[in-house]
Amino acid sequence: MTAAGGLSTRAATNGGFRGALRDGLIVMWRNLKRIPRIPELAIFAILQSIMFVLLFAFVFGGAIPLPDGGNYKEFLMPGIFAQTIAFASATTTVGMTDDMAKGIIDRFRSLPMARSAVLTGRTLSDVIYNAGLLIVLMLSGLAVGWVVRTGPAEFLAGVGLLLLFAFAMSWIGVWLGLSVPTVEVAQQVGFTVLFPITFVSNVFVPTQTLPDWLRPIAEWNPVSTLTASIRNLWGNPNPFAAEGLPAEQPILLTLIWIAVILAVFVPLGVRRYRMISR
Amino acid sequence: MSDRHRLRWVLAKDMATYAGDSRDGAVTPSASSLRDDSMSAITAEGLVKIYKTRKTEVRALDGLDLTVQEGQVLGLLGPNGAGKTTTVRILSTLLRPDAGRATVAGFDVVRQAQELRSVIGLSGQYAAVDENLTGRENLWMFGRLYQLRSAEARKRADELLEQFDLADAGDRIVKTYSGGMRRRLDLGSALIGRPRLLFLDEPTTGLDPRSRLGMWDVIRGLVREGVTLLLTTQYLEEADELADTIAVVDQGRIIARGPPTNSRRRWAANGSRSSFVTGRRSVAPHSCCRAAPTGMARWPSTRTPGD
Ligand SMILES: Nc1ncnc2c1ncn2[C@@H]1O[C@H](COP(=O)(O)OP(=O)(O)OP(=O)(O)O)[C@@H](O)[C@H]1O
Ligand SMILES: [Mg+2]
Repeated sequence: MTAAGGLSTRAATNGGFRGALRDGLIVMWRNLKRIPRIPELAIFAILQSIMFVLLFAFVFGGAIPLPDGGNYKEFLMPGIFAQTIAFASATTTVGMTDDMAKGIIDRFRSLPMARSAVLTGRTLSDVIYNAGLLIVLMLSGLAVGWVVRTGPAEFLAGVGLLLLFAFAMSWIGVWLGLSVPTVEVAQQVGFTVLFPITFVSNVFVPTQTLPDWLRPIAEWNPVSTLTASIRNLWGNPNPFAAEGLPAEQPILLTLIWIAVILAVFVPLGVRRYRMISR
Repeated sequence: MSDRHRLRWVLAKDMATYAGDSRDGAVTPSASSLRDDSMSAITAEGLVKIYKTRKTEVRALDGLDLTVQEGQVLGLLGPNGAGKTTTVRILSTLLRPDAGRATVAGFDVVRQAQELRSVIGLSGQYAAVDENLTGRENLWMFGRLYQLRSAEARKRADELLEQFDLADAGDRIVKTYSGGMRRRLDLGSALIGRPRLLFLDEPTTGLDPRSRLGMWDVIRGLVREGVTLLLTTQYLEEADELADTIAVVDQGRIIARGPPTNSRRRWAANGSRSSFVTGRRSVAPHSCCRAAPTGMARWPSTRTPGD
């Protein structure tokens, strides 16, 4: 065994897009491996969503009439999916901060791996994690009476949109996770931002019930446009008071939101990651 | 634990006490002992690092110079806050210096960081392994990210688990490991790609006396194989046992530099004792630390690392 022997055993692709992809997939593998080992994270994410479903479907829901008399539980579930995905970005934040605190990020940075891999691996594994959450939630939704009233193509389009949104939110989580000092702060910031975003929206109530000054904010909110898109795609009730872009083009707006979030937070996250060495 | 081991432990802890007036005394100024010849594996010149926080600025490194020759062991000895970790982090590309320059294995630590990463191994002050993976998964992952092929990474993982006495625990989640086991896994992770150059930041802090001796054995084995090593420690005894040169850091500078005090160190490659005569006055301990105790027994040579 010689000290210099290691060089000959290197894989052929070091660097370039393929190298970056491979390293990203390895980091993704690592993040996914961790999920069943800390099952509490996923279990409580799902329990929290189910709690909202039960709370609104059976406690508050009766007091929230839909303008066109639609089924509240059908109205609720797409919102719950969008909300769950928005909240899952807090998981990204906490995971990232935790990796920083535990020194794993330093270990990664000392290795001859693609610089991008830590971030792409993290955001890709978050998309898969979200897909898992969605499956469980959809089964719970079916149990309380939610159904998809359109075809498989529309169904898949809705799922795709949800996961794209998850990917974008995850980049916000990456940036935030690298910007805050501790896991506790990450959690606090996450929930402080996420609660208003998901509640000032069409997730639980039709926006008609909101005061005039708040209604536009709620309607243009990305969580709302996503929820409205999915209600439309899946044929679930989607009441809107006024005409306007959020009512007419929610999918387009959601895609624009996703593009804007990515355009802002991918560079910010990458910059933050580079700045660790400062 | 035998009494002898316990005694060594106490002595080692005791020696970690540093006197405050470390800047005076018969010390060799670092600048004059700095040789920049082509064989040096590590060269650092005038490294400055300033940590800025909201209110204060900490000058962690204040013009630090050092060289390590190829195949040699430099022991960086210094009290808490001296700048040891900062030095290691700069040399292993984790941190950019604010001034000064450094080359490691011929690569500039700032401009050629990525090339440099494929020839170094780093084991930081705190074990940086993934608590939610098994030991084997950790090693495999770091091996893959060191750009080893999957089969090679698997083979290396097995070898290292064996070498660090973790074979039985290899498939357990690291969360269930003791501190010493994590430490060993961390060193194993640093060795996964068979680096030519190794940075070990306080590799034996938190280890029990026996593990400590085991770690020394491993380190000596690596040195025999020709690995260049920069090691930080708070224990004079440890620097004495392992290093070819001891550099004492305080307040971000090298304040003394020289061969180990203890002429009993230096073992020939076959492990037998050979005398090491030095005409130079030993530098490190007199001014800053208490002298090493004499008559210390040789460490147990349990296994030959690396095979
Ligand atoms: N991230 C940081 N932010 C601010 N100051 C820092 C930071 N890291 C280190 N320092 C300061 O820089 C100085 C040198 O720290 P360093 O960690 O390099 O010391 P050290 O010799 O490794 O000490 P120890 O033996 O305690 O590990 C200390 O005064 C420390 O407080
Ligand atoms: Mg330190």
